[in-house]
Amino acid sequence: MDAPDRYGELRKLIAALREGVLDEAGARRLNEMLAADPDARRLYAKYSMLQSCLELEYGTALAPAGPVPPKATRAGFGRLLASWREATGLIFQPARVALVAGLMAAAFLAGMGIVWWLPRSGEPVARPEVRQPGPTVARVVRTQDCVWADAADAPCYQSALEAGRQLRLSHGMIEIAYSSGARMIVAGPAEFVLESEKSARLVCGRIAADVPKEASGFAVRTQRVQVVDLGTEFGLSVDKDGASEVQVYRGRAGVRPLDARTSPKPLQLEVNQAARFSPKDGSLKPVPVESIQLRKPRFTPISPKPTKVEHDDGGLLEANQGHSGPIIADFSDGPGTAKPDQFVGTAGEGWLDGWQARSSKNIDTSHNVTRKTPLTPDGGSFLQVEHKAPARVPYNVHPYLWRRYGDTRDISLARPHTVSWRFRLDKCPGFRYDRGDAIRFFDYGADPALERRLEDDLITWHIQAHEPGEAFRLSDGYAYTGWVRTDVVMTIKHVYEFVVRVDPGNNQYRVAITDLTHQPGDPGKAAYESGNLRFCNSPEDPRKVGGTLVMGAMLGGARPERPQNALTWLIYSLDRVEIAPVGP
Amino acid sequence: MTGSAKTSEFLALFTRHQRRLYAYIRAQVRSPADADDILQEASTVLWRKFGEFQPGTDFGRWACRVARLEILTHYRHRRRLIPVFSHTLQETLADELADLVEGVDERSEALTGCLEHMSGPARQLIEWRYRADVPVAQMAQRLGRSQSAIYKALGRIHDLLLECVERRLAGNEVD
Repeated sequence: MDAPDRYGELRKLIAALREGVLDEAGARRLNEMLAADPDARRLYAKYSMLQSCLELEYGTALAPAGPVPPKATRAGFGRLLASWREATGLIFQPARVALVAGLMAAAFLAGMGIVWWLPRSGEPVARPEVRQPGPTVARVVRTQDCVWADAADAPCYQSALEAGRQLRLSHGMIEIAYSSGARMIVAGPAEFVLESEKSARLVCGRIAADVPKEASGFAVRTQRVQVVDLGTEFGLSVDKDGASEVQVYRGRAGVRPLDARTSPKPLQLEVNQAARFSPKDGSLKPVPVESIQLRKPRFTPISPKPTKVEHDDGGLLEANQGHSGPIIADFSDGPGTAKPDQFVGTAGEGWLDGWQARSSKNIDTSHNVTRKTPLTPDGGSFLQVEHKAPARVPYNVHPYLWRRYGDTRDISLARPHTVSWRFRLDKCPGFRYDRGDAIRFFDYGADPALERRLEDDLITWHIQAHEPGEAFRLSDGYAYTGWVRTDVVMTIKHVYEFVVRVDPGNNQYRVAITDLTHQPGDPGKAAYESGNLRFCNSPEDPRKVGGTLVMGAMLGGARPERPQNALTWLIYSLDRVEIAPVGP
Repeated sequence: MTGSAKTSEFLALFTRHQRRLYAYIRAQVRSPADADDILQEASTVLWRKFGEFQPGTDFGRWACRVARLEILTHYRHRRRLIPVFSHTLQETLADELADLVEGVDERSEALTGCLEHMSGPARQLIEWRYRADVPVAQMAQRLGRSQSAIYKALGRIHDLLLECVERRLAGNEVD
């Protein structure tokens, strides 16, 4: 070991470099010392390797590192990955390239042929908990504006739910049909567990259970009480402290405390009777229905279908006629200023989670999202998004807003549907077009589970614009095998309507863009309609690749050092985000 | 060689030498993110040029040579980024580092042993620093110390870890 007194200054400089606080003078001195002394260089190398090892040790402690194999051919990718996995036994986790970040980042990285897959030091990489699936006991039969605490595990319309499945619904409503015949509506925020085909545990939140005769005995318990059906429809709520209220809407129900030592006697409630359990004194008492706060969860009726102007040639916009229940986010609800996931949109079923603002490479970008009104004279409130970033961020970062949607009664991702939205570019002060920055939308094929997307030999494309004054382009987002220039030039402050028609079964993908500002008197006439985007392959299972709406930016160049604490890159507005079925 | 055999060979070699390559790049850049970017770029080039690699020679050494060019390219394309080292020093360091990082796997193993014997606040600081990426200001706040004290502590812990690694490599310390 080198003598500490001889290299004390060097150690301090190395430490400053390691902690990111080495100033210019220090950097000069470090260079001088290393240039002059081979022993100093060896010592530097040893410290540097120590740091690398620590980064690898903590970054890979739970997940083995490895590169995703190079893409020999698109068709062969899944097979290659499988053989690589088989050979190594490795589980790939998109950790270093942040999971979601990937939505746009991955398209770029993967396009390079190899994705480096090494978890970043400092990013705890937990293996996903492996839940042994129990038997299926229920199915989701309805959802409305659902926002799930764990988006990756979110069920959607017609999802099978197995015994033991725990769900945390942050917002919205879900209706579950048990195989026993019982039905349960859960209103968020709620946390609950499906225990069997005739039982559930409500950790917190409120539910309404409708139990037919054949499911007699269906029970819902909280931590302190159990409500057992006696041929009934009942409601139950429990708060975080364990305080519960029960009301019988039809038939009868038994309510019993679960703590036998301290609890009072069970109650039997008839129609329009209620009871309250107090965790403070362990009391369970009948109370007048008027005195309880429990409100029966009810689905909000779906709002009338928005009026859309029919396209003259019976093209894309006609597709929305004659159906009810599109998935809509028009931002007429929600607070005026909030985190994006609090903007749940309105009325439509099928959203799997809220808006989420993310950025790639674990860069702490901020995303101010504000509800404003109106974007267009006939529109309601809209969402304005401002992506900000620290003064300096590394090369190739992607801040973006995204939201997932799933099947509904009216919409199947496997069948033709349209995705449409209105967009306005408000400002782009931090953009550097010469460095490859671009605004990107939609990213068909992007999936939060990046790994899965790669396995499926990905089908992805996006709409992109580099700078005001340039036309929007439609581009293969993965392999850059092709792109199409549209005739619509992106102009700041203009409102554009995008309609994307997705027909995976027939391998048809088309885009229409309308400049609502240029064409105020003819809003239904698209300024541009694409032909079929032939650089898309048809996915075997569209549910695996579709269903994610991405809005945001790809910042190609490294950000320069700037004196400010943060830099606004991009401000844009969104409205009337809608997914609708096509055809009969 | 068939395409899949070539792929398998590349992957096997790349996996075996990836820590060495990372350490080599990391020693010449300021942040893990920069190292990540360069490694990503280098891995693409390595695959593209794999046909030029002579089987039986040192893949790690060859990969370091490719990575060295990628580091230069990285900084040339991003002129606003300030390299850690002058161009001359980088030239000097490049070959020496390529020699030194050959032992990164042994060092890594030794470090694991050292960490197993580290506990208390020192281990806590290392965990915060490398696993959770906690900023120094936040560490200082959590521990009720000044930032300067935290910097000193981190410096001392790294010194101790390096001493421990060196002792283990010299065979003077075993579990």
